[in-house]
Amino acid sequence: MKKNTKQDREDELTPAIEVDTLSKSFIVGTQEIPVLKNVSLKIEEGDFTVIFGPSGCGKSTLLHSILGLEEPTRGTLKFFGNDLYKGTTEDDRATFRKKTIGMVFQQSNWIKSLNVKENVAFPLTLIGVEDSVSQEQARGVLTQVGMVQWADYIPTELSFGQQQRVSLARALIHNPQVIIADEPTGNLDYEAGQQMMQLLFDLNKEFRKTVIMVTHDLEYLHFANHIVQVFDGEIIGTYRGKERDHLLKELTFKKGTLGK
Amino acid sequence: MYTGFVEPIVHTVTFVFLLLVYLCGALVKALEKFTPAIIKNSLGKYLYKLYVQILNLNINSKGEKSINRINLIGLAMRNMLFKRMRSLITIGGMAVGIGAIVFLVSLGYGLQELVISRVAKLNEIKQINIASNPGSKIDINDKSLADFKQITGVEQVFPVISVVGKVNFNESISDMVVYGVVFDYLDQSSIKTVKGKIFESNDVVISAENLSTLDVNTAEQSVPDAGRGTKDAITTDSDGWVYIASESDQAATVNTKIVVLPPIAKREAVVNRSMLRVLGIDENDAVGKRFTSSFVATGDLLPAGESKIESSGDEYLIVGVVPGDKTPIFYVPFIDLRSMGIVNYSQATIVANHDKDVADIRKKIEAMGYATSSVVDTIDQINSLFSTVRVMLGLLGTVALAVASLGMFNTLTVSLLERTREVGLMKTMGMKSNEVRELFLTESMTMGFFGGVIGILLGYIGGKLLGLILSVFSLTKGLGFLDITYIPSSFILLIIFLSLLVGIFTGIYPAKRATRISALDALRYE
Repeated sequence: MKKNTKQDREDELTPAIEVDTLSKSFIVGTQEIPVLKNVSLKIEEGDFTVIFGPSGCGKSTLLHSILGLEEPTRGTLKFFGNDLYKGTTEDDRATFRKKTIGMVFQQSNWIKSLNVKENVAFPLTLIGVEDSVSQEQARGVLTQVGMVQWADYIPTELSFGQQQRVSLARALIHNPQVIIADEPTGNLDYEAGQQMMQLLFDLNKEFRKTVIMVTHDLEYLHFANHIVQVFDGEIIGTYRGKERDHLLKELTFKKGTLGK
Repeated sequence: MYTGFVEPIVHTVTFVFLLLVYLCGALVKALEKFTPAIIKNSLGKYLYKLYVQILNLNINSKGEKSINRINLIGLAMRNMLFKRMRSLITIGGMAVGIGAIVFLVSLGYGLQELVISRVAKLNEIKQINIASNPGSKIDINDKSLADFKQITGVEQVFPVISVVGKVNFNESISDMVVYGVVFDYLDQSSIKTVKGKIFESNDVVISAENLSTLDVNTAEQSVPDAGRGTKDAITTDSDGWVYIASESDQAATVNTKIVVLPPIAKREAVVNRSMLRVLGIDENDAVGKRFTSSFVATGDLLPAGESKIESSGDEYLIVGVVPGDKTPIFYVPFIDLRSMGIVNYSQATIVANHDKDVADIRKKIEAMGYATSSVVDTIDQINSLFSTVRVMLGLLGTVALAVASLGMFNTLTVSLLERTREVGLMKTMGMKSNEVRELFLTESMTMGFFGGVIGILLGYIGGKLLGLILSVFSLTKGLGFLDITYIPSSFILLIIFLSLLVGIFTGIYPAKRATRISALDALRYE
């Protein structure tokens, strides 16, 4: 019974992200190369979504569309019910990004002239927070990810794993509703990767942050409650609940190396 | 459009303000480690409140939740500190370029000041010389003097009478130029006594009973004037030589009136060196000696009906000596010559209240029918000449600045190319295109500003150093210290503005390119 009412409630809520028959093609020379073909997707608030697929399947492009950086050739993309591309300028989307989204990338990208603390504080600087306040908050989030002792270092002096944790701190400092991660574990060893994923998982559970992660690595799928499989520009499957469990079992069977 | 022009200027001016605020803030933060807790608590809190207030100003942030200009300045400064060597060299180049301009132009200003100070003492700038226009019937007389006094801005009026003096000393007679002047005239002029003093008489007005009386011995003589015409014109040429021009009129019979100077005539004279040479008197013995002189006044100076008045000859006491190596001249009290019956004066000198009034007063006097001259004319010519000189010097210095600007342009463009990923990252995180543009412009303007400030210091020091070096030579010649450079504050403002302008122009291209960097460049780069 509880399940039903929960399901009903979920159907009534506006999804966090709603992708509707989105297509994206790139024009290379005289050729039009389709990268995304009629993709449709619903991500609910509080989901931990993992979008996976082989390299070049278009998942990164999908992510960029969600970020507001890649205008679709056809179709719509709505964020909390608002069309992201219709009637908006690039500046509008930039403003939207800095308020709503926190990002973690595969390769850590830093402002080289600033130290760890200042880099982490940057999203707050972008929304006009005064320096001493933002840096105090930076220390706060750094403590949460266990990196506060490195606050005055230059980011490139840290190991990849440490940099990714700082990246996460930066993605969280402005308390965004959505965290988007593009292959965050790509350059990390197993240990660091697991740590990273656990952090994301905890954030998702404790603070109800919507997490959208893109990866080609099947290692971490079990952290997600919503799995999206992409192949050759199309979504070939979305899995929740029982279907999700079933998929994981299959993949474990196939891979034979996954832990729970 | 009008607004299109004002906005960038306001933006630039507010930029300088915010930059200074930022620098003060950084200074305070740096000193934080050294200040005791007491000051930190009270003053620190107050300063912080002030800082936050400035942050909330409209010129800093436009109210919406966006990165504010002081933050952009901070980012720009951090980037400059990160590439310390490169920034120093770029700013150094700008400083040298600006320094060259400041040095050269300050030299122009300094030399101008030097020349003008030699040409005109402070007093002379306020003085106007008035003479009758040649050939006009408008004379300078007591009424004219009264009229001149009425003009607004006129402080003092001095009449001058110039006649020929027949000087008798040691049995020889020479003709000399005599000026009848009042004490104030000599006192305020550039003619300073080298020995003795000026006679004290300041009298201009004479009452009827004090006029000269006719010489009973030789009254009303009709004397054919051999070799002397009815008109003696005394003129001064541009080298300072004074000529007595005689217009010879052969068949003229001149009615010469001989007069005796009244008791109120002072009979004191201030002579010049040339006269002493003619008379054979040594300068050191001159004061106290006496010579006899009679004065001849003709035509224009006299009332209608009189054609020539000559004084009978009086003993004059030398009270002072002034320099003057060309024409022999001596000065007698105005009242002495006036008492001869002279009603029209050779010239008048006006002292204005303020040098700014000079031009207006001159216009009014010229409208009355007189000719005016002033040292201001010479000064104007000098100023105009030096304006041209300064422009040429400035252009010369601009060559150095142009080279430095190219260097800065190169630095900024390279810096941009290196930071493609960084710009992409900032855009992905939500920085708008115009904010990115402002970031790069801030960097270039900051470097330009620093280059300008340092350049002004360099130019100033360079100029003073040059003056010091030259002073070494001038001191040995006994001429004292030489200061040949001068920087007016208006010029400093101009230079600051120029360096900001250079910052803008060199930064505008990289800034524009930065806006075109796609946010995805940060994400694609592998």
